[in-house]
Amino acid sequence: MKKSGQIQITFNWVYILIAGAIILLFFAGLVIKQKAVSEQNLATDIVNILDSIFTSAGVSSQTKVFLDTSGLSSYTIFFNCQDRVGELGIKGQGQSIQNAVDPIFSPAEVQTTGLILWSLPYKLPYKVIDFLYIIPANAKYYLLGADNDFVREFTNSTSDESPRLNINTEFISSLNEIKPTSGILLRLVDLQGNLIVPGPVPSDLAGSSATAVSFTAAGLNFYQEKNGRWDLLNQEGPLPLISLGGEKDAAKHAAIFSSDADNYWCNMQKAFHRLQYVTEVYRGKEEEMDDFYTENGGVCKVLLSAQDNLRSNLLTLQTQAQSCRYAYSCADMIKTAARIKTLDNQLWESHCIRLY
Amino acid sequence: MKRKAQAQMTETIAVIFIFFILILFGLIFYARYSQSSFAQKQEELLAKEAIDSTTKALFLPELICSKGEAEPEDHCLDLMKLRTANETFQKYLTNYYFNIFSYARITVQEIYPDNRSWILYNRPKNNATREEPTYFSVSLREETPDPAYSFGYIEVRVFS
Repeated sequence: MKKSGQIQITFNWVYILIAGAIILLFFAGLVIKQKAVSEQNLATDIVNILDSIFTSAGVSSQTKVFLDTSGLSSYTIFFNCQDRVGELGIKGQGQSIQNAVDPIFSPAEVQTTGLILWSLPYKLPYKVIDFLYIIPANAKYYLLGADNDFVREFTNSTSDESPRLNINTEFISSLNEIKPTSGILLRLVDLQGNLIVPGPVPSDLAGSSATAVSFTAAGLNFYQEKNGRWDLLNQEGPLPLISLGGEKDAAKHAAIFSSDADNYWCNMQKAFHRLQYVTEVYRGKEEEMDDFYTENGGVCKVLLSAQDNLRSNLLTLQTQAQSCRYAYSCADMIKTAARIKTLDNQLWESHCIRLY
Repeated sequence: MKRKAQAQMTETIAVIFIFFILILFGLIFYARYSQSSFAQKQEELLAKEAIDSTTKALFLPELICSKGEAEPEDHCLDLMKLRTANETFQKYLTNYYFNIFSYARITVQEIYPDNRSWILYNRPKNNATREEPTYFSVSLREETPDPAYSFGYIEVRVFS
C-alpha cells in the first residue's frame, strides 16, 4: 500500500510537470505567434500611413514637408519600381503597397530619422502629374560641374529657413573634396557630364556606396560605387531627359533624387502613361474651343485647327506618349510639347481662350 | 479508499472542466475582440480611402483651372475640361482611373447660378456594405461665351 502510494505521488508530480509544461508551451507559442502577427500588422499599418502621407504630399504641389521617422529608424523602408508599378514597404516585414499611378523618386532603401517630402509639378507643356521626391534626412547631395544657373537655382530651392526642411547640398569643384562620413548617403550630381565616368573612384569614396547621376549631352547616366569603381547602371545607353527646361525642372530633379536608372525611368513611364489621358482631355477641350470659334474665330480658329496647329500636335503628343515605352522612342515628345507651348502662347497673345 | 479515489477523480474532472471553460471564455472574448477590431480597421481604411480620393480628385490635372505657366487656381474646376474628362475617365476606367479612385462615384454639382451636375467617375462596388461620402466646395470656371465662374461642390463617395 505504501509502495503504491509512493508511485501515485510520483506519477502525480510527473503528470503535473508534463501537463504544466505543455500548457506553458502552448501559451508561450501563442504569445510568440501573436507578437510576430502584431509586428507584421504594425509594419503594414506603417506602410499604409506612409502611403497616405505620400499621397497628400504628392498632390500638394511645390511644397516641402518633413516627416519625422525617428520611431522607424530601426526599420528599412524600401522603394521599388518595375514595369510602371511602384512598391513601398518595410524590408522583411508586413505587406508592401503597390502604386501604378504616382511617380515617387527616392533612394532604393532608407533607414533614417526623418524624410523630406518634396513635390514638383511635371509639365509637358501642361501639368501632367506631380512628382514626389523622398529625401532622407541623412542624405547629402554634391553638385559638380559648370551649370552655374542650375546650381544657384537648386541651392536656393533646396535650402529652407526651417533646418528640418533644408536639403543637405554642396557645390564642389572636384571629387577629391568629398570626405564620406558613416551613416550619410552620398549622391553626386555631375552637371558637366564628363566628371564621373566608368572607372576607379577617388580613394576616399571607395566603399562609400555613393551613387551618382551624370547629365551628359546624350542623356543621363546613373552610377553606383562598387568595389572602388563607378559601375554604370544603365548599360543600354543614356536615358533621355524629357523636359522643356525652365525653373524647378521636375524631370531634372527626379534624376537627382532617384536611386538608379530603373527607378528613374520606371517612374517617368508613369508620367508618360498619364500624359496620354491628360492629352485626351485637352483634345476634347480643343474641340470645344474650335466649335466656339467656328463662326467668329479668325486667328483663334487658325491656331487651333489649321495644319500643324494645336489639334494635330495634341494628337501627335498623345501618340508619342503611347509609344514611349523605351528610351529611344520618347525624345520626340519634347519638340511636340514645345510647339504646343508656343501655340498656347500665341492664343493668349491673340486674346483667344487658352488651351491650358 | 475507493470512495476517496472517486472523490479525487471527480475533483480532477471538475478542475479540468473549469479550466476548459475558462479557455473557451478566453477564445470567445478574443474572437469578439478580433471581430470588432477588424470592423474598426475597415472603417478606418474606408475613411482614409475617402480622404485620399477627395484629395486626388481636387488636384487632378485633367480638371484643374490652369493659367499657362502660372500656378493653377486652387479648388477650381475647368468646365471645358470637365465635360471631356468624364468621357476619358469612363473610357480608361479599368486600365487606369480605377487605380486612382477604386470603387467610388465622383459627382460635381453646381449650386449657383444654375443647378447642373456631372458624374465624373462611377464604379460602385457590387454588394457594398459601407459607403462614405465626402464633400468639398469648388468654383467652376466657364470660358465660353465669356469667362465666368459658378459655385458648386464635388462629392466623392467611396464604397467598400
